Amino acid sequence: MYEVIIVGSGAAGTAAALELVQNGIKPLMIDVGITNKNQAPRVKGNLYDYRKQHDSFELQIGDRFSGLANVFNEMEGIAKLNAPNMGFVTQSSKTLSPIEEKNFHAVQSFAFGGLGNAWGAGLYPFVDYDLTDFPITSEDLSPYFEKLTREIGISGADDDLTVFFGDPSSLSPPLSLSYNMSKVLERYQHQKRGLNRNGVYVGRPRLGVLSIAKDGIQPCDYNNLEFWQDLPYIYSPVRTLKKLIATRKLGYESNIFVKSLSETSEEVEVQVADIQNDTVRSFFCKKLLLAAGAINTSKIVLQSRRDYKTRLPLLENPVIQIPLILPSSIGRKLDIHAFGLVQLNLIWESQFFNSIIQGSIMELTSPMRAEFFKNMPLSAKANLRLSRYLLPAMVLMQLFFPSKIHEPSCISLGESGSLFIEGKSSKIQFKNISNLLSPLRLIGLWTHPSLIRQSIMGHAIHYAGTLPMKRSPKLYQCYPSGRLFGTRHVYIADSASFSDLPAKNMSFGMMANAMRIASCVLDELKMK
Amino acid sequence: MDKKELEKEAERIYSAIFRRNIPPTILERFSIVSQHLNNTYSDEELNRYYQVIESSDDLLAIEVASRYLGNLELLSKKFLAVIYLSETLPENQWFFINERSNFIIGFTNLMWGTIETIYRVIKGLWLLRIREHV
Repeated sequence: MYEVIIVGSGAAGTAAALELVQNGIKPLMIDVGITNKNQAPRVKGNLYDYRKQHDSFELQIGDRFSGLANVFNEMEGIAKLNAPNMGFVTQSSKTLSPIEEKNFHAVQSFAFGGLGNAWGAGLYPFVDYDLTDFPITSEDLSPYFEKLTREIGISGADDDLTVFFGDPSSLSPPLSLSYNMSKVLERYQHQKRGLNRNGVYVGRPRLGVLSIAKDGIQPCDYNNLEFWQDLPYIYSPVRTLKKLIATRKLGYESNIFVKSLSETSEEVEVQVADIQNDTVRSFFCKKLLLAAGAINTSKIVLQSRRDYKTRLPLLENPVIQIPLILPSSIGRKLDIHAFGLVQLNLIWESQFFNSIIQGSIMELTSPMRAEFFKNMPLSAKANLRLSRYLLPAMVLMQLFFPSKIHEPSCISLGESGSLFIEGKSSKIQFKNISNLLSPLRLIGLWTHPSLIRQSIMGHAIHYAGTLPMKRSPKLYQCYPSGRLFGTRHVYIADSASFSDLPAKNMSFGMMANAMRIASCVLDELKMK
Repeated sequence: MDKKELEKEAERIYSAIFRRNIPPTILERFSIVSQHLNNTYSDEELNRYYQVIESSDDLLAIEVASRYLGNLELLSKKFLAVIYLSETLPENQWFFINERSNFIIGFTNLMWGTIETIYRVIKGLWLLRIREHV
């Protein structure tokens, strides 16, 4: 019998484990725990130097041709997950947890460290505005944001976005900007007054990316490898997990797939399938923290109640992709020494949506050039010219909307054991975002409406709200402490317990909330 | 499909885009991708595709025109596959990456690419129309 069991090794499970360990509890983490067994080369140095000297087929496409997903229409638009070295992140997810989808494309991970292995590492604290519909405030989360900032080493700046992103005091310096991004920020500084009047603010992102060395880990080296392999300077839950497991402060069992759970007044029984031996067995604990990701946590809960009728709400951020051109950079050489993920954020206080909308502006220097050909309008040969002379002048803005701008999707469990997710697709009308395009032109970023694309629901990979926390919860909701209604010892530690999903990247809020819930569990254990 | 047909298909697409002979590594990799793609299309679509490949028509023109019409998806997919595979070779880097900044050269290239595309679209539409009549 364990004191605490945590299901799942993603960002939420890891943060919960950290809080428990720091307070003297040794939890057991059970997890499928797939690791990277790919033989693809790992590059030391610069991506483009490597490409000049080596055939990069194994690094960028791979023997299983996963890098050609865009050609085969599989996982289109999520280039990072298609890289051969990143394939393990979503490996076996379709067989372990099959999902029938309608207007939705769910991305699940059963990897050691979860989706955090391939994330953009955007770590933004929730402020009170983001928590409007939650039964908690930013004060409840702030001690955990501080702890996590120390653990991770978050880079960022005290700039115009501080009011949206919270206290900048513990941040390390921001990363260096590429040529294009520094031009954008320069123009923003000149045009700031007019832009702010239109509710547009630009600044540095908060990233779990080291800008200075920490605990012997070297900082970002600007080699454009972010899409192709895990890099030590980008935080992933694996860093914390390895440390906790190596120091024997955390118990860890892999190849465990949780099926369902049941509880008595004293304990929880977790029924699992041992994938390696193809056997079924049980674990027992005093308190159980579910952190298997919103989709799988919901599945475990529905399966435990053998409920094949209930349709739980599933929140997700609608996303629009806006390719932006800096005309003055046409013909520039490619910035081969750049950080290939988000370099700037844009906040738009939209009157139409009556909400804050967050844009992440990223360089296009890390993906293959071929990745963009599908959306290029010219002949194949002329598209090579675009690749050479136009792509270095382009950046991409992903515009994230709060989930509340449309009806939530639904998730339910079929009797066969597979999930069904129905996305409520609602097209964001171009005219409703046109107000943003003229402020963008002021900072030198041009686009054309025909280039703007809305991603299919599910592609933001921010899933939440299936078992929301409420002050007075009902069935399939939880208390502010994270305890699931109708249970005594089961807590929802991941984003399934979110009451709402703001436009802001939820990872950091989810991690801090998982620590807060772990702290509630500690209080319960102490009372006993 | 026999090896010769496959070689011809790969050679036709590669030389249309890059104006040179296809390297053996690309040919080998393309053959796997091509067969995989063929399995996802009906016989009728495959016939239409291979008629275009067998002809001596301007492939670049037919590809861009049919991309706009949305009536020969397989051809566009195979073009895209060849582009992906080609980008992995060190000797092809200069096709994709610009290493010297020059606004005039960049702008001229974009203009030239646009004019060339307009010409190819018109030519492709004409070729597809003739093909329909045949």
